[in-house]
Amino acid sequence: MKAVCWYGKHEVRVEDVPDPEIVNPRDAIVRVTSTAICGSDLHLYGHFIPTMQKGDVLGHEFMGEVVEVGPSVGNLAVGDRVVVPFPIACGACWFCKRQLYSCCDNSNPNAYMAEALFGHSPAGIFGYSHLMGGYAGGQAEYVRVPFADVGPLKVDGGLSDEQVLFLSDILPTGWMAAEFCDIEPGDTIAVWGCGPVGQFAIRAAILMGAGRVIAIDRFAERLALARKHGAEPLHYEEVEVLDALRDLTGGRGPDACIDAVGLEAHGGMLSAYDEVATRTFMETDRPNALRQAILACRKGGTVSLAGVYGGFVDKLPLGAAVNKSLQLRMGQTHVHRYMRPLLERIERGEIDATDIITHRLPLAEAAHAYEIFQRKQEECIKVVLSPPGARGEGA
Amino acid sequence: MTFAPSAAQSHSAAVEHERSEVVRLHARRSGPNVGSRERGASLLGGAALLALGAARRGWLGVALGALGTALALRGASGRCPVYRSLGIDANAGGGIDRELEFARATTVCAPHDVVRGFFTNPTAFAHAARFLEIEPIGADCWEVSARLPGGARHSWEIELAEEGNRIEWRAGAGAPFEHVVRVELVPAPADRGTEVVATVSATPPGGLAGLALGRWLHGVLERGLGVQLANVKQLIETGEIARAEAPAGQRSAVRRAAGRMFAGEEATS
Repeated sequence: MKAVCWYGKHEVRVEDVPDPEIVNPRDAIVRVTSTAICGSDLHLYGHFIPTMQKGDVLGHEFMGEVVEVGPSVGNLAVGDRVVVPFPIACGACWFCKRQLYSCCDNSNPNAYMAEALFGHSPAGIFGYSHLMGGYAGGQAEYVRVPFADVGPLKVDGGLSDEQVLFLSDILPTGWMAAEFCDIEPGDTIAVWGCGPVGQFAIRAAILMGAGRVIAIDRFAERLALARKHGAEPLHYEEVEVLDALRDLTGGRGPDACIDAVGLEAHGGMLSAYDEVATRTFMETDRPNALRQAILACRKGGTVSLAGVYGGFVDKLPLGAAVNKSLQLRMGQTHVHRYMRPLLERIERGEIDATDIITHRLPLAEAAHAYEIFQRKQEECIKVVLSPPGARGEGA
Repeated sequence: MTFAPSAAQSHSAAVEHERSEVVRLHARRSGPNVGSRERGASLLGGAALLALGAARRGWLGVALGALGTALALRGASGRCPVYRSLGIDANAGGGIDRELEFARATTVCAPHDVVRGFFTNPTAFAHAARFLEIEPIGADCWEVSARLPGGARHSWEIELAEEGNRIEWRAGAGAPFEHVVRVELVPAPADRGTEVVATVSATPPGGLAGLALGRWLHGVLERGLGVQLANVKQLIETGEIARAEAPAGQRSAVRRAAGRMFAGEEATS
């Protein structure tokens, strides 16, 4: 089958790899009909995440049709159309029973690697380094789905792939980021980063009752999309973000701040420092957005992290967080928890996730897709890839 | 075999015992192992060598400075890596401890009797450690057959014993070296299941060289024990052991061999 394989910094190739097979009784094999490139895939593309190996199959946002099930999968049948959540969760451990699916104790075969870096291992993730399990990803014609009796959400009827594909990651991720803010009517929420996760965090915050959402980015097309959905855009290269946020909120600061940027942030007073520090291994991640979010947030407010951080950061103003009594909330998304309620909102027409898609390309053009997404060329916000033979439409 | 019936041990006493054993093991692994007088001498000697090194130029000065720094740090911290590799603890008499001991803990989200049933059935345990085959050969007596690199096999007998919350597998006839695997089970707080602390005590073959090699590999052995415990936990909680499919990158032969050895991974990539 064809699959998108990682070959090093800024190098992916579409190659022929062996078809996946059932390995464990609770596995299923899914023929991928649509798959997307996530902003966090760019962290792999830029080689910010360790333990990648040449030939690894990428992709953790995908959906498709079940073509084979293991003997212990009772809830799926061949022909079912499913969206697959990006964290792999067993459904049986203490964490899964509390809906903390991305903390699953049993789905990372390389838990020892993650334990060395993080203290404990999170759940395995499709196509996201050997640190996160070494599972092949879904930017391929077929993918093996472990614990298929727990994760995949069956989608029936007339919804297109594009309407439901993002239930696999970015829609629940934006939703959870907003949920972390415990939004009360009239609250002001600031969102750093107007990529796909930031866009969905903005829409979630408004649906949850935020009075104002202030969207911070430097790309006009992303700010325009945020404005279309009710946010007030703030171009961080044209204004001093902290001063602007203070004055836009009567000196109080936003009630909650969402960092939807993560480890590859640009801008800010310390950006030159971060460039040097990451190149000299003094830190691995550039936490500029997070620094600003902590400094901007009102006293007693919440800083919510939706962006991915992988390692170590420097010059984090923890003193500000402590002395302003901030609440910091973060985590890989417990996608399983949100898929069904968000699907119901899509069915009711409350959420239209399709307008973030700017590029629809065949899987064979994945290398080009990664390049334009990483360089923010062609006003690229979100790329959906179609494997050979995929229709990408509802049944 | 079974131990003689013990006096009724309260739950809290069992938990206290388990936790004090864990602390003892970690102190043995990383606690101070240099006596107080020797620490003082090491500190003073190190400072003197450092001063001597600073007064000289060239490689001799650098070497004296490095040696002095190492000795001073040894004195200040009370920890000597050479002593550690030889199993010497000056605070515990100074003799060579020829026993290698390492432990790992996990919490299995299952009731105590389910977890106990797993650990008292070595055949079930063999599903978690796929490089082992375990067959019963008598009452509480089992034959273990280990698959070695290159296709070779080695077999030996183990005896199972239980006392209170403790289960022991003791190596018997044919064992390559003397060793005991000890598993302590105590209920975890609230509804978290059962805490499992597994300890391996072994007397490595090959005299001091074998002992030093064993201590040098301490971290690897401990990680291997941790992987086996994780496999047991996964089998009990989910009915299977999580595995990445092939191909998952171009994995090296060493990693494939290690995967097969510790995780029971099939030779698929």
